[in-house]
Order: sequence, then C-alpha cells, then structure tokens
Amino acid sequence: MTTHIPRRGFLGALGLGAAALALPGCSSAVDKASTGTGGKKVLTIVQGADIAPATLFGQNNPNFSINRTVFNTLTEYDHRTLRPQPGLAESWQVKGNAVTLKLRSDVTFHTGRPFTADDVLFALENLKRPEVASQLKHVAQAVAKAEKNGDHEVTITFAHPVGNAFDLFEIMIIPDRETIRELAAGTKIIGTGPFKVDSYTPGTGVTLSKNPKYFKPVKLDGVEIKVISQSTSMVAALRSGQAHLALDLAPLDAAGLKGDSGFQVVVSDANDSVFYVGSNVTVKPLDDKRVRQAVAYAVDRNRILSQVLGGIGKASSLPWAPSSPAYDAAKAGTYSYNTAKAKELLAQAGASGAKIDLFYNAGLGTNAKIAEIVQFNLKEAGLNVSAVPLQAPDFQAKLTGGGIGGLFVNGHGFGQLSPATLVKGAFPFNAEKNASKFTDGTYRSLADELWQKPGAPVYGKVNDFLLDQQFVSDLVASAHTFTISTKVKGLAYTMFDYLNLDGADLA
Amino acid sequence: MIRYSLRRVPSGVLVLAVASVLVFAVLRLAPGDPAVVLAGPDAPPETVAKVRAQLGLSDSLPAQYAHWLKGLLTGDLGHSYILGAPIGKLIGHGLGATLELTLGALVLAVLIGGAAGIGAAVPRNRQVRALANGFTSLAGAVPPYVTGVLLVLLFAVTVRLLPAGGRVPILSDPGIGWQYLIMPALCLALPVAAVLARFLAASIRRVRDEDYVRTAVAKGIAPRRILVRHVLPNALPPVVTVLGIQVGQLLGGAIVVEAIFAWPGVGQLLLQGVLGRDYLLTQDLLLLAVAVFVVLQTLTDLVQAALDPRRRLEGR
Amino acid sequence: MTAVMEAPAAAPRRGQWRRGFGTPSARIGLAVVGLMYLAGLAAPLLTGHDPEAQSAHALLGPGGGHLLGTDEYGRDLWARVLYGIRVDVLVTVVAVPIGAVLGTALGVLCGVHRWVDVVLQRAFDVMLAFTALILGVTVAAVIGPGLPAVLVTVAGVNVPLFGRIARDAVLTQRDLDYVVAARTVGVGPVRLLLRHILPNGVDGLVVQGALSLSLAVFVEGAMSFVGIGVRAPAPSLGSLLRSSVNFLHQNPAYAVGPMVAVTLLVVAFNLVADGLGKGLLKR
Repeated sequence: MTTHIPRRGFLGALGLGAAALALPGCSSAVDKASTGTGGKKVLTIVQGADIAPATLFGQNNPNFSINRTVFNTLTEYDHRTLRPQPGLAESWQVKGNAVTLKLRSDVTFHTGRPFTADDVLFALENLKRPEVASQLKHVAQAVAKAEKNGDHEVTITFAHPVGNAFDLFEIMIIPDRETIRELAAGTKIIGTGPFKVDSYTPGTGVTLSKNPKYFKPVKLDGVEIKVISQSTSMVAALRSGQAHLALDLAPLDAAGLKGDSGFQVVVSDANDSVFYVGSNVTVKPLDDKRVRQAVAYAVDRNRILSQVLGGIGKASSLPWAPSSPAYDAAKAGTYSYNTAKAKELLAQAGASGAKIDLFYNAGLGTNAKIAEIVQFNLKEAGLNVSAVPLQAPDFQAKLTGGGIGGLFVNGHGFGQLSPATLVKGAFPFNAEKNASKFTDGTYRSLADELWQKPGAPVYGKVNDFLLDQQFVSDLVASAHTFTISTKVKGLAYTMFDYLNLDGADLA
Repeated sequence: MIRYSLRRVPSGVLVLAVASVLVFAVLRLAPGDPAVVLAGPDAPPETVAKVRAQLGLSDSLPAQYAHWLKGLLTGDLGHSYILGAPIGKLIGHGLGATLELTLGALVLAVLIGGAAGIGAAVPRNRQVRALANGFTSLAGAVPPYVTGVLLVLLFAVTVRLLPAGGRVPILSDPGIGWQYLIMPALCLALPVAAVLARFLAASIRRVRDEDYVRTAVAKGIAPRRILVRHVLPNALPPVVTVLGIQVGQLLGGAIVVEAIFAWPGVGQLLLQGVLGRDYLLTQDLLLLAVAVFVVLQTLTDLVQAALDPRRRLEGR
Repeated sequence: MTAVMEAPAAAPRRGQWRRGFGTPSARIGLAVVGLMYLAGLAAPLLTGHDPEAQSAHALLGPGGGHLLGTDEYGRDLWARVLYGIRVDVLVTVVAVPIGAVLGTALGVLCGVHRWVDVVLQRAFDVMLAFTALILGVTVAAVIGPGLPAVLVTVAGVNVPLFGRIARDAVLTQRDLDYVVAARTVGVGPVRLLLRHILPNGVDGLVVQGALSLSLAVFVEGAMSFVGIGVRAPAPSLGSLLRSSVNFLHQNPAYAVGPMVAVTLLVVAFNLVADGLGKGLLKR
C-alpha cells in the first residue's frame, strides 16, 4: 500500500516553480532601458579592477576613472599638437632649466581649503619619497630647487636639461597634503577635481558627486564607479543600461560591441598600451642577440592583433605610439611573422631546440592570451618553450627583481609622449635598471641624450639600437578603450588616458 | 544533553584553532610578496622594504600569528594589503552578496528538493516516481559549473531572457534583482536539492511503514490528509539536520557559482585574495569558510542529538 | 579452529562483488567510463588535430574538418576535449589512489592506541572542515595553480574520507569474535590486519572509491574552472568550459563538448557508486 497524492498535486507544485519564473515579467533586466536615478544625471562607470589610491601618483589603469575626475594636474597635453594646455597652472614660462608656473587662484580642495603654491611643492616632495611609485619619479628627482613666489606661483629648477618636464606635470595629481596618509589607505580621497568622493567601498566601487565649487561648470550630478571583474559582465551591465561607460573591456568584447548602434567604442588616441616579449639577456641562449631577433621574427603579430586584441591597434616592432615624435613607420615593420628566418637565426646562434621558459602574469587576461600565441609561435620556430604562468605579485616581484629566468610577455605604456619618459621611466626600457638585465654603456648615454637633448637624430639612433638589440621585442601597439553608451556626451581623456569628465553629460 | 553539548563544542573550537594555525602557516609558505605589488611596478628595493615594514611583514612569524589571532578575537580583522581597506568592511560587503545567493539557493533547494522528494516517494504513478528519481540523480551529479554554463547558454544567449551575470541587490530593487539572482541560486541549489530529496524520500518511506500510518490508511483517511497530517511532520525532522550539513558546503560551491555569474560575493573576494597573494584577506576568508562549516556541523550534531538520544552516547 | 572462525572472506565475497558490479547502474556507469577513458587514451587515433596547434581560423562552428569547431586561437575543440579527458584519467588514476591509501593507512593506525585514535580523529575533523574547493584554493595559494595543485587537492580531500571508513572498520572488526579468536591463537597484528580486518571493511572503501573518482573529476573541473587548476595551453574539461563562457555568443558549440564530457564522467562514476552500494552494502 502506498500513500499517494494525486498526480495533479505533484505536477502542480512543479508548475508553480515555472510560473514563478514567468510571472514578474513586467520589467526585464535584459531589456531594461537606462534610467537616471531620481532625475539626477549620474554616470555609471564599470571597470575590471578596483581603484588603488596608493598608486595614484603614477599611471595605473584602474585609477583612470579617478585620477582626473577627483584630482587635477598642473597641465594637460593637447592630443593633436602635443602642446601643454592649462590645468591648475594657468600659464608658464620656461627659462633654461627652470619652469615658472602661474597657478589658478580660484581652486579649493574638497575640504574647502584653498589650493596654493605650497600644495604644488608638497606634491613634488611627495613624489620623491621612496614609498611613492611613479614612472615620472626620475623627473621629480632631477628637481634641484622648487620655490614659491607668492601664493599662486612656483618656480621649479632642474639640475640639468629635462625633455619631459610636462610629462611630469601631466601625470602628477595634486593631492590634499593634510590627508595624504588617509589617501594612501583609501580612507579619505581629497582633491580639487570636478567630483568629490562620497564613499569608497574597496573591491566594489566609488560614489562621486559633483563638486559645486569646481572652477568650471559641471553638467553631471555624480559618477558611480563599479568594479566588475569579468569583462562579459561589464558588457551585460552596458547592455542592460546599468552602466554607461566601461573601461578596457576585453578587446574581443569591445570588438563585439562595435557594430551595436547603442554603443560606441572609443579607442584612445594615446595608443599607449603596447605588448611585448622581453628577454632576460643574462639567460642562455637569450644572451645572443640573434636569438632575440629570432624571437622577434617568430611571433605572428597579426594573429595576436585579430585573435586577442580584436583588431584594436597596430602590429609594430617599435615601442612608440604612432603619435610619438620618435615613431618611424618604416622601421615599425622591421620584424614580421617569418618562421623560416627565425629558424635560420636560431641555427646560426646554435640555439635550435633550446629550452626556454616563457613567463607571464596570469592575472592579466590579455597577457595570458598573448603568451599562448607567443609560446605556440616559438615552438613553430623550433624553440622548446614552456609557459610559466605566475600570479600577479610573483610576476611583479620577479620582474622588478630581475629574477625572470627567460622570456616574458608583458605590456608597457609611455610610448606616446616624450621619448625620454620611456627610456628613463618605463621599467622594461629603463637604461639604468630594467627587467631584461640589459646594461649597456651605449644605451645609457643614448637615454641621457634623449632626455636632455631630444631631437630627430637621437630618435633614429635609439630606434636602430632597440631594433638591433631586441631585449624587448615589441609586438602590437594597442590602446586603452572606453566603451560608452551613445547617451554619454562630451567624453574626454588625457594623454595618460585619465578620464576627464569636466564637460561630460548624459542625454 | 548538556553534557553532550559540553563535549561537542570544545572539539569544534579545537578544530578551529588547529585550522587557524594551518591556514596561517600554509599561506606563509607561498611564493610572492604583497609588498612588491603594493609598492608598484617600478619600485626600487628600498621602497619595497619600507612597504613590507609598514605591513608588519618583517615581524617574526609567531608574532604575526599572535597579532592576527588577537585581531580576530577583538573583531579587528586588519587591512587588506592590496585593497588597503579594512577587511571587516570588505568581507561584510561580500558577505551580503553571498548571503543573498546562499539564502536564495536554500529557498530553491527546499522547494525543489521537497517537490522531488515527495515526487520520488509518494505518487502511485511509477513514471512520476522515476522522473523524480532521475531528476534527483542528475541534479546531484551534474557539477554547478556545468549547470551554470548551460543556464547561461539557454537563458542568456539563446533566449535573451536573463542577464548572464552581475548582481542587483534584491532588497534594493526586487523586480530586477531576482532576475540576476535566479540562475546562480538555482545552480547552487540543485546539488543540495538532490540530497534533500533523497533523504526526504527515504524518510517518507520509513515513516509510511509505521503502525500509525498503516492504521490511518486502514481507517480510510484521505491519502493527502495522511501525507500532510501524519507522514510529513514525522519525516521532516531528520531531513532538517541534513540541510544543516549541506549549508556548510554552500560556501565552497559559492566560489564556483560566483565565478560563473560574476557575483560579487566572498567567493570572488577569496579568489582575488589568493591570486593577489593578499595574506590577511585570504587567511580571514579561509578561516571564515572553515568556521562556518564547523559551527554548522556542531549545531547539526546538537540538533540531531536533541532529536535522537542514542547519538549522545556514541561518538566518543 | 581458525578455519571455523575465519571471517566470511574469499568465496562469498566474490559473489558480492559480482552482485555489486552486476547491477544495471554499475554496468552502465562502467561502460560509459570505459568508453570515455578509451577515447581519452586513444585520442591521437580519434583526431588528426594537435590539441595545441593554433591557426588563423578562430571560433569556427562545428563542421568543415572540425567536429566541434575551433576555439579562440583556432584550435580544434574535438581534439581538446579528447585530450582534456586525459587529465581526468590522470587525476583519477593517480591522485585518488594516493589519497585512498594514505587515508586508509591513517585510519588503520587509529586502531593502534586510544590516543592515536583521538589525535587522528581530530586531524580528520580539521581536514574535513576544509571542504573540497576551499582546500583547492588553499593548495593553489601555496604551490600555485596547475595540475600539481589539482592532484594534491584530490589526494588531500580523500584522506579523511577513507581514513574514517577504515577506522570504523578496524574498530568494529577488532572486537568481533573471529578477530579475538585469531589473536588468541597467535596471529600477528600485520597478518591479522591484512588477512582478517581490512577485507571485511573493504566494501565501504570500494564504494567510497567510486564516489571519490566522481569527486575527483568534479574537483578538477571546478579548480580549472575558477582558474586555479590546469593551465593553458594544456586542455582540461574545466578550463575549456571556462573559456567557452566568453565565446558563447560566437560559437555556442564551444561549451557543448566539455559540458557533455564532464557530466558523463561524473554521472557515470556516481552510477558505479550507486550500483556498488546496492550490491555490497545492502544486507
């Protein structure tokens, strides 16, 4: 004897679940159109990683959304002419090794304290502190004397000619000196920018609201920055209207949105996201430059461009963005996919079949993907390559400590502005100390010449030197992207890709 | 009962204490240095050393452990090395999301598990029972990451009905929030539902053989009334304790489900901590996971002991 | 005398085995597992493609020389699924037995002395408190993500599972008449253990073994899926599934192969465990 409930009852219970799925179909998360919150214009930004307040003084991608929205810098390059334009500095005069900057007098920090010359001096000093990291630190360290002439003027004198002082003024945010400790911890983020930080929840996001005392009229009422670690979810947020702007979608996702009329993929004209394979030149057989040249020939740059970067960028053997004065279109094509040539060079060097490790940062999706292609290409050329994925901290530690025992795939920036910034500040190329352990007197003097006496002759020499030595083999000059809903108007960004929302609006 | 409780609780505490040493020791063996990450890509060694000192990473290991433990006991979980924020706050935020997910999963598991359990034991129709049994076996075996991808494929890609990932807190916007919650919660719920269904079915079959049920049947009481008034009330208590053990497992499952659906919970935080070599954050989260498991296990034991006196005597 | 008191060993046991493996669910399960493993091991015969060979033809749909299409690097997905099965063969054949043997040995040790038992019991409690994936995360944090982390995790998960079953078997059998009798006639402890006690606890261990194989496939998939398991470019079912998520729009078939393979393996091992349980444990 079995007790039983009528089948109807059981099936009914199952049906209930199905009905629950279908019932509240009135508003769908998928088709949801963007609505402003309570009539206020709040721009919602999604990005893959959390902001890192401790690294605001250098270029660090997750900070793109706050560097220039919460803070200001002294000057800002015009993207076409690459001439500095006013920021917190209204005007300036260069005399020999000295720059005198006239500062705006109508600027206040979000705390209400007026911005003065002392804040600029403090920012410079701050940059020299050992625990503060910045790619333009070498410029700050070259400052021989910095003094104020009244409350709204400073004179900065360098110890020697410096070709990239305005790169420093472009990257150096002016923080509130009274809350600098809290800034590093992320507990108080105070600047002079168009938006002030209302709340910051690490790992999740930042809420910004309009700074009513900003020195220009601001159209947006606020900005919401959300951290969404998966690129596909960022796309979902854009499609559902929950976000208006995504920073650096996975290139293939961005490419997938290109054809969509509701969205626009803004590819930064700074083109400062260059991917490369580096060689530790102290490791055999990479100590032979023919092997490094073979690596440069072996890689299929165009497949990386299409399969990993979604066609955003340009295959190039040079580290510079096309806008850089040092860029040379003819030389950029020096190395192209040529397995036969690579094999030949390897045979000459007696390195066919040599065992080499290929390291990459497994935390960065794009790098990991490029490494997969590089590994396969090098195998084709007859190198016995094993891929070694390292977790982010481990990779960084080995990279900066010079402990990478072979090849490494990574990305670099700083090819877009003064060429000196690359060879003095970007770690892969730093002539004093670099990830490749490449130390060379000629290179060092070329770097100094580039820094102190920039010009076409030295650019040519540096290019030929880099192309010949190949301790860094550049692959593709790509770019950071801002994928925006077409509702977003007036988007701008600096040459370091810091979002500038001074004139941004939501339609 | 009290004596039994007094015996069970300290052993739970002991497990936690040993686990805390393990978690602490084991993560210090790992390569990589958070100070280097924090110091930034181009930092010179002096900077790194300074940052390391700031983080307290240059103290001796026992001192670091003692410091950590003291912090845990006083509710001060310390700061995340990488995110720079108080860990309590980080976990608090992620926990909200994970709690929403696990509670959603629990509700679904009870509904689905209940229906399938009854369906496997009660209906006279053999096909219905077989259907319920088949569903139970499948739901119990198919890993959540397969279910998850399948759901995304069906309801987010083929039919664009639901969002493929992300979260809108259900309390802030229920109408939209549930659409984000339903797929991840279902993924997490199915294996639990399967276990519940299996135990419920077994429990119902056992109770049905009891004399009082046979008597009721003999008296000609309506089958549905028998089920609701006599069978279920007696069949449910043992199933509830099974639920306790299952909930302890949910946190582990949440790691996978949160990864599929980009659900911003503690599972994501844990992966982030592990991959970013964020010692303190990882330690705290691993210990949290272990603690949740141990507490639920102990509670389940106590509930079971309260229901079944025989258990108090065994397990020495 | 000993002969009379001998445990119900060899002969009846063989019948039980036959009953266990003879249940329909065990048969179906074994057949599926056998086929899958064969497909994995004979992968080079079943596909002409190198699972790691890239090409310019990325994200093709099924057909045209590619049974399941290609992935984002233009690699053949059918080949990657077949070679991915090999990872699970390795994990089930290497890691599970290591964990099982280690766990069983520790479980047997519990019978040596009350204090050893207490200590090991607590150790098992601690290990069990690290649920499978939490253990996986911990291991990956220490030795880094990769196949070794998966192997260590799978072995580690199994230690307390087998340990408890072996302990219970030893402790219950220890005081049974036939063991006491054997001991009184002077059978040494090792012989006692191997000849008398373990064979009688073996049913539980065998059923657990089948469940553990299913768990192993599950854990490999989960770890690779969340990025702490098998690493690119080597294929594994979990990592294939993970990378498919990003390309479901372009090539929905990408997900189908790994999804079917993982499900078949896990379900098949579960069926075997079910069948064995019915045949061996039901008295």
